[in-house]
Amino acid sequence: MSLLEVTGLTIVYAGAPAPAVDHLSFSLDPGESLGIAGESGSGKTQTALAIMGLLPPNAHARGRVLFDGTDLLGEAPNILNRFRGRRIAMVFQDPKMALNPYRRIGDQLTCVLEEHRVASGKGARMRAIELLRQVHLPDAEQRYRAWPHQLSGGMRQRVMIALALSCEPELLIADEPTTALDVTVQAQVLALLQEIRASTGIALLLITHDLGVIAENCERMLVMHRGRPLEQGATTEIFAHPEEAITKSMLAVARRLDDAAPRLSQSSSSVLLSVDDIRVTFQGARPAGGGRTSYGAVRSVSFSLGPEETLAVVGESGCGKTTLARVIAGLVRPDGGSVQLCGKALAAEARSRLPAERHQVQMVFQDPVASLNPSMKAAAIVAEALVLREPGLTGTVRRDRVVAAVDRVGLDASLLQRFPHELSGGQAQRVAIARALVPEPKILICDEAVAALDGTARTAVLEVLQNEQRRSGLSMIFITHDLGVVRRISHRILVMYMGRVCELADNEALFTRPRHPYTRALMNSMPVADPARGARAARVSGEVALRGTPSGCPFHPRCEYAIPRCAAEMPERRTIDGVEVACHRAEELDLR
Amino acid sequence: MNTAATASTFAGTFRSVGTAVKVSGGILLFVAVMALAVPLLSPHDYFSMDLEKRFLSPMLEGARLFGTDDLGRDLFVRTFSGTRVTLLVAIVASFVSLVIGVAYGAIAGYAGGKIDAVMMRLVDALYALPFMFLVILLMVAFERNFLLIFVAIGAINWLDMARIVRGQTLSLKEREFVDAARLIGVPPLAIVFRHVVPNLLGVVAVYVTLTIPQAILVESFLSFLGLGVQEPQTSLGGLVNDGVTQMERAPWLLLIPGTLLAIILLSFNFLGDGLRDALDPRRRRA
Repeated sequence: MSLLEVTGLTIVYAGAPAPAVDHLSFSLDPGESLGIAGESGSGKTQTALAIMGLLPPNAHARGRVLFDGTDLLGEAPNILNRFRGRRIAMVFQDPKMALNPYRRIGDQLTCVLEEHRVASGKGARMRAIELLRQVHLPDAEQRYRAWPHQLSGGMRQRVMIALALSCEPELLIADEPTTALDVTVQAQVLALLQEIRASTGIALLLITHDLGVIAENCERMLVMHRGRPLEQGATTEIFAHPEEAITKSMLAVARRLDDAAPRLSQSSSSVLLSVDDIRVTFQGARPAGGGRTSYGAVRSVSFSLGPEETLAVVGESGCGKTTLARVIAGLVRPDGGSVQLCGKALAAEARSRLPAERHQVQMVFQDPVASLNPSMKAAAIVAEALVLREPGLTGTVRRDRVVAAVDRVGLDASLLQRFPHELSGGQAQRVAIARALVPEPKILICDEAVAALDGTARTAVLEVLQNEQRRSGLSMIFITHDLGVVRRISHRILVMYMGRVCELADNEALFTRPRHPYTRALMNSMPVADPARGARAARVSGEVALRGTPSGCPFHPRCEYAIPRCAAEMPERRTIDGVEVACHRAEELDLR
Repeated sequence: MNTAATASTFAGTFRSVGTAVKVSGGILLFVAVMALAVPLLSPHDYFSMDLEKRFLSPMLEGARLFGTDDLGRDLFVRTFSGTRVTLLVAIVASFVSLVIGVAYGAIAGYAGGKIDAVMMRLVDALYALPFMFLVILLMVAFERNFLLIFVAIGAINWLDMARIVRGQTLSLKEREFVDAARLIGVPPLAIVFRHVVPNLLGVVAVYVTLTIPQAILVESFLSFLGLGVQEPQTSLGGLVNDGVTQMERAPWLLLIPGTLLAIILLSFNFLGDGLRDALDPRRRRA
């Protein structure tokens, strides 16, 4: 008999034109793992909430959710509480939001244990520490008394998993458990889930937009689109023979790493932008009883960018890539170093740059909706940039030019009268790109510009950017943590770790032969959309240090190739076969 | 679809929000029209005393709708002439505090650094001034003047407004759309008034609905101290204070102006809630 059986589940929101979930049926056996894949708005999370009885009051659910023979749908909270937490547990996307910031993590764990009468008093404490050890939280005893804000994102997600496991449930629902995490940490958390499944035999319902994650973790999968189940079956089967066009396009996005690298149309040695020895230091909060701590976000970064070139900057969050982008754009004043455009030094702040210089460097931000003024219509947003570029345009000419500007990025002119919140993520990002292109920049900085978008919207926006590059010879600096995107669009790649450059190489060279162990670690951590491939090669352990900088090479505490010299001495950046790399062992290591 | 039941509750909520705004707006409009028209059209006026007709009950004697007070003055006229003063003081004072407070707070918050520090220390210094002394000094120096009441109330209210707006601006200026505006070269003052201020109107609208009742209460307090509107002119606050002294003999002298004051205060609160929803673009319907 199956553990969970969902039959004809339909969820309708009051006032919504279409159901959020439409006649969904699936079943899950004890100990089995099922992946639900789909873009945002496909109803995956709604399904999970319906199983847990957490739908908001304006949602109306029909159908049956049988868990071990009991229909959970529409059951009273006191009945549901016999299942929730005890037999079905859930891990949410953002561990920062899911942990109570005002309670120590140990207290949150013992609270769950005592609430469900699993253990109490000293026993609860022992059990909590044991759970923290089970999820491999380093220094479990000390961390028992830690506050959530003292932990990194990966550690918080480990604590969430410990909370979920506290009552030894039979089913674990994980809703995008690794989306908010870096690739390296994502790989660690997914490995932990696999380990727990192997040791406890818990059933897993894994909800994700990333087919790579499903390929590596789930035996069976279900693809959803706009609330409807498209197809389900064994993961290997669906990956080998996808039936639906949408599944095929999602698979294509997930397998992007196999794409060929783009080539520069003409290789020129001229330099458009040169960044020299940029340093940025942020003043940290004052620790108790001490002076101010300062934190080097960017420590001596130099590179150059040619015309029509795309340079990708990659690294885990906190590596300084966004700060670097903001320095070049003139939004952050560096503590040292210079940015030169066509050989002329740029003023540190956008406001003090000459208009002609300011127009040359524009930026597209990560969150398309947050980067548009919520009180202005799309037309006014684009028109504002236009008027600043060319004051004195008459009304009709201006309107025509605005329409032309959004047409260039493939946005329908009928959407111009909408407010940003009325646009989809992809449409809003096109408006932001149109605004950035109006000043006719030579350099466009894209700060995680597609990270917030779904597979298809992401592909479309990347195409818009590439078309624009071909059309107007734009150079791009593309900040991202997604190596799939990097592979597809960049000519050269800059890998950063803790504010320093690890490696700077051509796309082809980097992917065929990474020179720096950190580059290798990032590539190993990428989920691979191939269920047939066995266990992955060694992953990088640990996380970016929260406080303080290690001596010598900043990566050495996490590096599996580290030698004593790495801890003592900072590696020089040097060129090997056209690849710039900062590693003591770059010559001898073969990381292919 | 089986959504009829839930859909109707949603529509009901939406309509009732709209109704509250319509009703409270209608009441305020009606009160304002009455305040303008009654003193003009009534055969009585607010200052003529008639000791023969003291303490007439409402509606019962001599066609006096609200009766008369201890000096035989017509309460109907006095109530609406008092409403006139109250509304004028409240609206003008709130408008003054709105304009000064929003501009001051938004500029201080957006400029940041030293400019912000100096501007906000000035606000702190003004807070420290004893308000009553200030008003008494003003009254003594310039004689009694209607305008002074506006100035006095506006002068304290804009300080709160400036602080609230500055706080909102500090978080708004970190948003990416402000960075984007800086990159395309929007001048700083234009960023403040085009990108920052429109996005804090929701908060401001709610706060104004709090300052209007506050201004009404401050005005009635000043009247009570003999520093506000002077007899025979009156305000709702002044009438309530008069009514308290005659509470046992003629309760309507307290009840009628008091009820009207409460209705006005409540209506402003409902209107503010509605305004906040209307000014939030995310709730605006396409």
